[in-house]
Amino acid sequence: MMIIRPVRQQDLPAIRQLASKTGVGVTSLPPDEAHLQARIQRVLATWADEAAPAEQGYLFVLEDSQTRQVVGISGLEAAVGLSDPWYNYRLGTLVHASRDLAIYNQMPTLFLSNDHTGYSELCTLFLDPDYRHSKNGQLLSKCRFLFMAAFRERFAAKVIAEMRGYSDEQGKSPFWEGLGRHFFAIDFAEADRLTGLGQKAFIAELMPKHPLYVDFLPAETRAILGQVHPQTAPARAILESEGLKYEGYVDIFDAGPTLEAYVADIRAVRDSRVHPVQLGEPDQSGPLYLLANDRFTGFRALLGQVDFADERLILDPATAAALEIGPGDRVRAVPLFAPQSAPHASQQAAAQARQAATH
Amino acid sequence: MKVLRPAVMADLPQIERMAQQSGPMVCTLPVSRAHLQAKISRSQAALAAEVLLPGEESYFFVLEDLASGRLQGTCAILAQAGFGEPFHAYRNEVVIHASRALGVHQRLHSLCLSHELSDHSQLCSFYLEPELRQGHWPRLLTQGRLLFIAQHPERFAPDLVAVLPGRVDEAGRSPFWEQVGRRFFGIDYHQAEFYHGTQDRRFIAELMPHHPLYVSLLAEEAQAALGQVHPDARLQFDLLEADGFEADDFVEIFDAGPVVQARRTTLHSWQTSQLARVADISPSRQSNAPTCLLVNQALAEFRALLTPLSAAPGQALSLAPEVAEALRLRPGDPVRWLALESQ
Repeated sequence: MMIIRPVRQQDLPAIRQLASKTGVGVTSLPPDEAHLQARIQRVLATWADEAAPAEQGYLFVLEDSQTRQVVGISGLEAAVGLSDPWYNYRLGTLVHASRDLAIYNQMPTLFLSNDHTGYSELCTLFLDPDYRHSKNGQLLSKCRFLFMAAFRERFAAKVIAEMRGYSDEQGKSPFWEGLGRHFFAIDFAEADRLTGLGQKAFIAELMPKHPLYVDFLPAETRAILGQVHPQTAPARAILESEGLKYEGYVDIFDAGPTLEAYVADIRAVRDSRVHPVQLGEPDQSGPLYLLANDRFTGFRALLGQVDFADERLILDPATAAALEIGPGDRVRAVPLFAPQSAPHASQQAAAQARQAATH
Repeated sequence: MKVLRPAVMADLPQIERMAQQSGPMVCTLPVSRAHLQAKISRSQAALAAEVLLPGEESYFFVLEDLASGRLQGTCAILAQAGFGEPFHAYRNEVVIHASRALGVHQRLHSLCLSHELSDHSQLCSFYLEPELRQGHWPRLLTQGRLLFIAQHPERFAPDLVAVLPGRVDEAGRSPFWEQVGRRFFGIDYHQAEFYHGTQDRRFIAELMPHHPLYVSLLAEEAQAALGQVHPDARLQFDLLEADGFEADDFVEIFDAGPVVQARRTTLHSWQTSQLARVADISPSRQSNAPTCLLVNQALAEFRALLTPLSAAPGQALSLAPEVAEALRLRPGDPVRWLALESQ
C-alpha cells in the first residue's frame, strides 16, 4: 500500500537519492545535502509549531508500506515572499493607439511583480520513475489539498503552483537565452541551481525591473511563454483538473506558468467531507477515493475504495490501519476524480483546458 | 555674396522647392505649403514681438544669394523645443546590476522616453544646397544662428538642443525604426517623420513606449544605429560637436540619430565671438584677411554673412561698402563677429 505521511529526519538519504534523479528545472529539490537538511528541519519545526509564519512549510513523502521505501515527495509552503521577495512576470497588455493617425496596437508586456506575496504554494513534486503508475502521482499531488482542507487556517486564501518551464534536450531554456542571459553572465543551469538553494530573490534583484515589451524577445522565446516542460505536463493537468488556472503569471527564469486558485474553490478541498468510520468490506467496484485522517503531525493519506452507510464511511481494516484510525474515528474523503467524469475523461478535459490556455 | 536672413512670405515658393530637395530627412521642413506658410508667419510674428522670456516663438532663416536672388538654404530656431507639447527624446540610462555574492556586475543600458529637453531652445530645419556643403557655408547657417542667439539671449533658453537624422539603409529604411518604432506604430518611417513634422505631438505620447527599452534586447542592427548620424548630416554634426555640443545623453525617438545639446555659454562661438562697433566703411583691402562670420544686431532685419575681415578683440571694424550694405550697417552700429579660421 502507498501511504502519504509527513517527512522525517531519517528520510534524508532517500530524499537525496530522489533529488539526484530530477533534471534541471525542478528547482526546489536540488541534490544538495545541506540544503535538503535545512528544508527538513524547517518543515519539522512547522509541524512542531515552532516556525515563524514566513518559514512555515510542509513536506510529504510517499512510502511503499511493504518495502518502507520513500519513492515520492511533495511540498506545501504556507506563505511565499514574506522574508525574501517573491517574483513573477505578469504577462499583460499595453495598448498603443492614436485616434488621429488611426493606429491601434496591442503590445504584450511582461511586468515584474510581487503579486503572489503571502500566497500559499504547492511545490516540490517528484515521484520516482519506477512508481509512476497506479495513480501514485495523483495521490502525491492531491494529498496536499486534503491537508489544506483540514487545516485551512494555516494557509492563505489563494494557492499557487509554479510549473517547470520549457527547456530543450540540452537543458537550455529559450526564455533564459532570450532574456535572462542578457542581464547575467551565468547560464540557466547555474541560475537554476542558485534558485534551488534559496538564492532566487538574490538573482531576481539583478533582473530587469522595467516592463518588457514581448515583441523585442526572439520568436523562440515568445513561443514558450507560459509553456510547461513536456515532463511537467501531467502535473499541470492534475492541478488544472482540480481548478487551478494559468492567469498570465510566469516564472522569471524559464517562463513556466504559475497556476493559481482560491483554496476554497479547489475541487478536492471544496468537495471533501469528513465522515465517521465503520470497518467493513467496501464494494471494490466504486470510484477511487482520496482519504486522509485529518491529523496534523500524524497526517496520513492514501487512495482506497469506500462505501457509505448514511454518514458513515465503510473502510476495510487494512486501509484504516494504514490511516492509523479505528472505528469511530473520522476520515476526510473525496473522490480522486470529479465524479461526473471517468478518470480518462477528466484527463482529456484537462488536456483540452491546457491546449486552450496555451493558444 | 550670400546672406542669412529671416524668411519672408515672398520666399514661400523657393522654400517649398528646398523642402522638396531636402527630402523627408529634415522633418521640420515638410513638403506642405500650409505648414511652411505658417512657419514663416510665426517667425515674422516672433521677430516683431517684444519677448522677455523664451516661449512659443520660432525663428526661420533662409540663405539668399544676393546676386541671383536664389535661396540656397534654410535653418530655424525654436525658442522652446517643446512649447505647448513635450519634446521627446530617448535618454541613455545606465544601471549597474551587481551582486558581489554571485560575482555578477552588469551594466544595463536602457533607453527612457524623456521630456526633459522640452525647455531647451532647438536648432532645426537645417538645409543647404549640395554645392554649398563645402567650405564655410554650413557655418554661416549653424554658427550664424548661434550668434543670433548670442545677440538676443533673452529670447532663448540657456540650453540648446539639435536633432540630427540617424542612419538609414540603401532603401532609406531606418534599422532602428524597423526594429523599435514600427512595433509601436505599425507604419513606415517616412510616414512617421511626416506626421512628426506636421501633426501635433500627442500621437507620440500615445504610441511611443512609456517604459524604458533595454538596449541588449534590441536587434543588433538597431543597437548599431544608436546615436549614429546619417552621412548627409555628418557635416552639421561635426560643426555642432566642434562648437561644444555633446551627443552622449540622448538619441532621437524614431531613428536613434544623435540629439546633441549644450549650455550656450560653453559654446566656442559664444565664448570667442566678439562685439564691436563699425568704425568706418571703405573699399575692401582685406581679401587676404581670415574669413569671419559677421552678424548685425537687428531682429526682422537680421543679417549674417561671411567675409574676409581684419579684426581684433576690442577694436572697431572697418567694413567694405558691399558688406555694410548687405548687413544694413552704418558707422557706429554694433556687430558681432566670429573668426572661423581658428576653429
